[in-house]
Amino acid sequence: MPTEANNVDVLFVEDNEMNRRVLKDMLDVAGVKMAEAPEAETGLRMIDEGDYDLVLMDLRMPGMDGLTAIRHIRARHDEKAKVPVIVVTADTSLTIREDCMAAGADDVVLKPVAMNLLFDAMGRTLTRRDEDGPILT
Amino acid sequence: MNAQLLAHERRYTDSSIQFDRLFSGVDIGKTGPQFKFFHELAADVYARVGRYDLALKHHQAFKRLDDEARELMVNTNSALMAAQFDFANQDLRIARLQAEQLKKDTELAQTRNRIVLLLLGGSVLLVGLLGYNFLSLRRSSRTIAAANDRLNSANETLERALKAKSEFLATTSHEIRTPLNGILGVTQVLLADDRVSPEIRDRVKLMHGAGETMRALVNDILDAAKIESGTLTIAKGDTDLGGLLDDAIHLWTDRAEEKGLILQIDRAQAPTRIVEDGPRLRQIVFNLLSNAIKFSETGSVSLTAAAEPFGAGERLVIRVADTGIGIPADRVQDIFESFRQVDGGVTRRFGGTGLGLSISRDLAEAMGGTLGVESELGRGSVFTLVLPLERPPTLANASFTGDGVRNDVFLIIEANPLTQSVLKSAAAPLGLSADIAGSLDAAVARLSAGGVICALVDAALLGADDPSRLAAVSRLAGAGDFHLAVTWPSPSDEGVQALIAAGATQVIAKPISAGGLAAALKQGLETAA
Repeated sequence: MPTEANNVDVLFVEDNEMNRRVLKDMLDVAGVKMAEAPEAETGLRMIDEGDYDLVLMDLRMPGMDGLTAIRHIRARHDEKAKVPVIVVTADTSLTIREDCMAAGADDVVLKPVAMNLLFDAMGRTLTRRDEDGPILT
Repeated sequence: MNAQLLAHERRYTDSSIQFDRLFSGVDIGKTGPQFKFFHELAADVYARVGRYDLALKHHQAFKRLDDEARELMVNTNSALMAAQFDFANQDLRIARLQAEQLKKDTELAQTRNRIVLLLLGGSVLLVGLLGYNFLSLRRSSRTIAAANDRLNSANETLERALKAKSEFLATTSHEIRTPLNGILGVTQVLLADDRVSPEIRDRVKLMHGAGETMRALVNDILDAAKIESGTLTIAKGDTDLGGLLDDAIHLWTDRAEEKGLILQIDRAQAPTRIVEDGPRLRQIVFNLLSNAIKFSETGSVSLTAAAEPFGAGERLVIRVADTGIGIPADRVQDIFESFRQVDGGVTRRFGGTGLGLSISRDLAEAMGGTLGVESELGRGSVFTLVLPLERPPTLANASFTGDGVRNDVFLIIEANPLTQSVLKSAAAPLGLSADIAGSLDAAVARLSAGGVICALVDAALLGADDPSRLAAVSRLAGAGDFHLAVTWPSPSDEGVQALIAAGATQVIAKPISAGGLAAALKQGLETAA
């Protein structure tokens, strides 16, 4: 799993089209490629079929919600169960961090997304998940 | 109706004639909402019979009515939301008043009971009264029981109203944050784009600043709710006070300059690192500066921070002084109440929710401190934040020079924002304070400012060919006295020697892992020392 910045494949699971567009533009600033899924079910299928280095996950979506989707990912029986997941949410309730971590998320970024905080969370997650992988190639 | 039926039967020509009749003498540009459906149908029918000019007119009329309807819906929605909010507030007020009244009833009944008991115990001689007293006692007990029941149910109502209010605020916050994510997301992307011209950049900055203010407002409103429901938590940790205060000043410099105000900071007498709830402290300082700048038209705003001995320990005193409109003596306490500015006229003149100071005082108290104000009408105000001061227990204070400037900075010279974050995270085990320069020029400027003990730069950023890369290395090395580590793809012995000759103190071969990089830097720093 490469963690070199401009060689990271990200999947963003988010129902709001504007938010997907904004995150895509933000990640593009760092040269990161982003695939998108408009609902959790599609997201899970794309993880099944594809190979992503990092998943960004919204919480409130019609159909399956983000926390359930994370639990599904963590319940897999292959290497993909360990894919880093960062929650991107506008939910600021008191226990949101604990709830996300309990479901298996690696980090939480709040909307409106501050670009530097998003990259910091990604940087932390990618290095923690893959201490032996190359960060500079 | 006939036209609709004919259209349904695909008799479009007949239908169009019916529409001609229906709309004869009617100004299509000014029809009311009841025509919306007919315009839509007519546009379709006219288009099918090739009368495109009329089709267009009806389509435009439909669009106009549709837009109106949509706008009305949005307005109704916000009105509904406001009404709900007000409703929850009214409920809350009524429930509170009820609870107060019941508390008084209960107290009264309890006092009566106590007097009765005193009479009972004090006088055996008044046996004759016993019967009456006994009855009275039972009556009082019943009154208390009934009042308690009512108090319980009033408390339940109060709880429900509070819960409704919190839920409403949480939903509203969530709904506001989503479009705000769009606005601030795009402004950030634009500001990161070199192709945006300076003039446009200025305007985008303005938009970004307005969005940030809106974000702060939403946070303030949520905090006010948390304070009210008692769910606000304070989490103290190692906090870079110097950086926090500098950032706050930096954030407000533009706004102050626009108004022609001088913005000053003096933190020479304050420790650089403290144990405190950093984000909360930042929020208070942000609010105080915002306030001072908002209410000052000329003159200056100054922030001073100092440690003062207090009892057996120390306290931190942060003052924000302005030369603004001041506060009348009899209104000084009012300004800390929610939604209050000195008068309605002032609210209109200066804007804001009037939540900032109320929240700041509540936060200060939750942090074990106080927030006070001294003011003179027309001369200005001085807000004083006093907090118990706790210094971090480590030796890390040695990382600062006498001037309170950090001298343990690890400078990451890297253009890609994600790589910056990855490197920052990889170098975290070194325990240094990370700083970032996005270009060689920015790096030279940062290095010249001092405090950097180690800098890391990748070959890719240095230049396109070996001579230009070596020249860049000398330029960096000449900007200060520090350990300069260069990451290089599989360097040869000669390559390493050339880099060392140019001024690098360590060459780290790529590819390298996070753990490998931290270990290499640690070793390099030890060798250099």
